[in-house]
Amino acid sequence: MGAITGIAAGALDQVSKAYAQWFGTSGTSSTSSSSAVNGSSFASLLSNGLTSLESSNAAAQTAAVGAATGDLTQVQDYVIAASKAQMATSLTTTLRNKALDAFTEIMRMSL
Amino acid sequence: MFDTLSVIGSGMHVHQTWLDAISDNVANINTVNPYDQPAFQARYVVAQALEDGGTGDGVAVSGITYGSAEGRLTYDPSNPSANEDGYVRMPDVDLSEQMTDMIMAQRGFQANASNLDRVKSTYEAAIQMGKS
Repeated sequence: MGAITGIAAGALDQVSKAYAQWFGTSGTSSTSSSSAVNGSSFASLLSNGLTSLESSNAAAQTAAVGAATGDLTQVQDYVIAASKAQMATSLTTTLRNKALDAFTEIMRMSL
Repeated sequence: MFDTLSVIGSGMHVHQTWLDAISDNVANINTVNPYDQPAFQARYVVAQALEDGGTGDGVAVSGITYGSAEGRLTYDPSNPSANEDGYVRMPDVDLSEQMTDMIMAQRGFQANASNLDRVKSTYEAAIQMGKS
């Protein structure tokens, strides 16, 4: 049982490192963020990722308002901001689903 | 995240600025100024690559330079702006050169736009891989 939770913790370690690298949440290199990896740090990384996702969505909203009121001088700014927000949302959703699947798989194990 | 999209956006921005400058030059191609004033000066966009020590950070407009203020002295005594010798200043803008610049700016913009499509589908393919 200890070995299995160790394997699961290692897998979550990989996911959290990749997530931190993608979102740049720690602000430093990914090697420093790997020094303290356990279940709680993955939760903080997820919340930081959601914060940056919210900021990219806010940027897309601002560009949309500018396009609607006619203030937008560069047309491609809105398309690029909307694409970034959509892809960041899709990536966050996929990561959340994968982490949840792994968690339920472990919890389903009978002792 | 997704910094490549910002790089492509900067490329599209510079090409659109170039198109704006060319359109202004072509719109003012018949702007006549009197002899004692400077002629209409063509606008040229100066682009500068942004470096970040890695694969680069795109391009930016570092400034606008102006063409010659002398213009072309044209003999047109019937023009109300002509001086006593009958000369006016026409802009030193070559229409064929502006047209070829316009084609280059348009193709550059289209190249950036098609690059944007491909980069977006690449990212989405990577995200799709995790969905199943």
